[in-house]
Amino acid sequence: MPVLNALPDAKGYFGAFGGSFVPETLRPALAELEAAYAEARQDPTFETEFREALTTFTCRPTPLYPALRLSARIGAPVLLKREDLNHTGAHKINNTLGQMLLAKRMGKTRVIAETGAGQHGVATAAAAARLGLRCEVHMGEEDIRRQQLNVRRMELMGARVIPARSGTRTLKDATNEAIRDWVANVEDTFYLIGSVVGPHPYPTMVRDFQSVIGREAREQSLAVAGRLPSLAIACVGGGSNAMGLFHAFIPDERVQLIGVEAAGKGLDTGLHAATLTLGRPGVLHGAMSYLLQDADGQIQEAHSISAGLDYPGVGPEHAFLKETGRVRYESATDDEALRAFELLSELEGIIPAFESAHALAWLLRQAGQLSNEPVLLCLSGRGDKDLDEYLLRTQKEPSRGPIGLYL
Amino acid sequence: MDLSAFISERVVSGQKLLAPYLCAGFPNPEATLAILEALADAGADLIELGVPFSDPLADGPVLQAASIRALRAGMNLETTLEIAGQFQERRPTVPLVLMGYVNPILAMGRERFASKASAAGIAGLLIPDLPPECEGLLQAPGLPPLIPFAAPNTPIPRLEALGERGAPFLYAVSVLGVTGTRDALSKNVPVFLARAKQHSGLPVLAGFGVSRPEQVPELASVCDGVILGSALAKALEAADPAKLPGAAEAFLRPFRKALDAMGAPCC
Repeated sequence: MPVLNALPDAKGYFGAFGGSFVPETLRPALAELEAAYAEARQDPTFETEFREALTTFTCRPTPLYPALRLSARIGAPVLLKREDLNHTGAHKINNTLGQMLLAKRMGKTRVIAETGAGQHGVATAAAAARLGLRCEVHMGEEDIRRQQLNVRRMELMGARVIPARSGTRTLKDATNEAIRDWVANVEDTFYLIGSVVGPHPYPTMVRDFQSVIGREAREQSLAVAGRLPSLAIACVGGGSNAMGLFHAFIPDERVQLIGVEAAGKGLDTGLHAATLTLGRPGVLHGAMSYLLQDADGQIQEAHSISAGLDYPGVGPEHAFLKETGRVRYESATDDEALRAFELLSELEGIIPAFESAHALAWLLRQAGQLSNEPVLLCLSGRGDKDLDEYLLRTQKEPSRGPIGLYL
Repeated sequence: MDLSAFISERVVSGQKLLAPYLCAGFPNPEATLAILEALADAGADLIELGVPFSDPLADGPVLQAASIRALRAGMNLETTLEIAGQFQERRPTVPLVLMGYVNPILAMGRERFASKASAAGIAGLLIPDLPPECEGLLQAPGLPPLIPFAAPNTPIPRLEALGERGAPFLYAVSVLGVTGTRDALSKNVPVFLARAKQHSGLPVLAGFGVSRPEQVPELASVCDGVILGSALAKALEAADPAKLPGAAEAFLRPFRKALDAMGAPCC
């Protein structure tokens, strides 16, 4: 077996997955990006700028929080990696700061991004404002309607939100539109992808920028618990917080790695986003990976209560880690995630993002069955953004007016 | 059909090639075969037959809509190849090039696809999201030749490399952007086409953005032919559903005329 954390190979493959399946127009741009990123990684100035941004613009290192009441419920010590405490509310900012610094360094004047619920869009808008770059975010028309708060946040920070009106008008289509925009404006535009997806070198670059999560958590675990965790758990949509968490632990064979996908209304309903659990390998958005697709190879719609997991693809490195068996991929339903959302709020005073609640939901299923060894869970984002949806789904008092605007 | 021989014969004789694109199943699956025949009868030298895909990321709004409509009507790769086979029996002198994204092909399986495509007489493949470097993914006995793309930003060494690999022709994406009609083509387009032809040494057909017969002479003077996609889809969209073949023919004839009016080169 290849050394798992030394991948990808020179062509951007993780085993059979990854690669660069893009129209010819994007080849020069990807080659330019690959060269610029390789050069930046060797440059101590870039490293210093990135660390500075992580420390002062967001709040790294984020704490590793021993969740005592949750631990009592689970029957094992639970350590929460508090990515929800990041600026803009999720781990997304780690990546946008890294790529934005790279965009500036490459002399690009315009940055585009795709966003589903708007979390990556907000993180991109914030990083763009900080560095004074023009920012335009593609967002499905349907998501714009559902996520007005994030649209306003992006606009407030100077970004323009461009409605994606094709297809299902959600994240998949926003990604198609961002790629089309990039093809048309490739000379001055940097495409800032929000997850470990897309053509080489994006899956690697995004993983690298997010890998600070796992590096910190590994050190903190040794400091707090005096040992490495037995389990490290993260939710997986595209998979950036999970890759960020897992990367540092891959050589630690005794740390079991668990990725939790969205099972939506149930794995047997056809309404889910469990790409690794139920999908098949194929090519979408520039990479070979697992996909939700029909028998004819047409991409299917994903379904999840969590907009951040609602994507019919997944990062190619996850596909590889699944096939090698190094990471186990599980799933949790909408209902389980809602219960976990409530439970963490009640037990710990922390409202988790719906995305992170899927990882928690899986952990809750293990209650009473784990040894007394520490368990690490990546709390990838805060759940304030999900409150309206929560109230709607649980048919509690519906929000009056734009409750989100005051969060 | 040997597409390389077919095209180089035309190129040598100075005939400019007219290559319309039709998405199989658009505007409806029943009309596809008849539209293909009408295009052949109106002077198409070769036809690009599109396989609809849910996420056609190199295409602009017109061809996206065509793709979605064809999928909703039940079109898929399997049926597209059946129609291709029927067309080849009826018009064996007009080669078909299959244009589609890679995932439906992978889903069919490469061996199955190669044998079905070759049985249907497909003369070449255009797959915008499969770079020549990844051809291995589809290699199987009988696979029709893959046709490479070049864009205005393709570096000269790559044009040379594409030429050295050899191909029936080079598909020149004449603009940075997705498919779709443009009222005015940039002045740089002829420069790019000439560069693509010179450095690849391959016959060059120009696509993306051609919409009117008046645009044809300028483009075709520096390359070997033109590809028409979105403009034809628009014409079909606007046509009386009962008269689609007639509309296709009426659309294509002026382009044929414009190309023929250029005549054979003087030298």
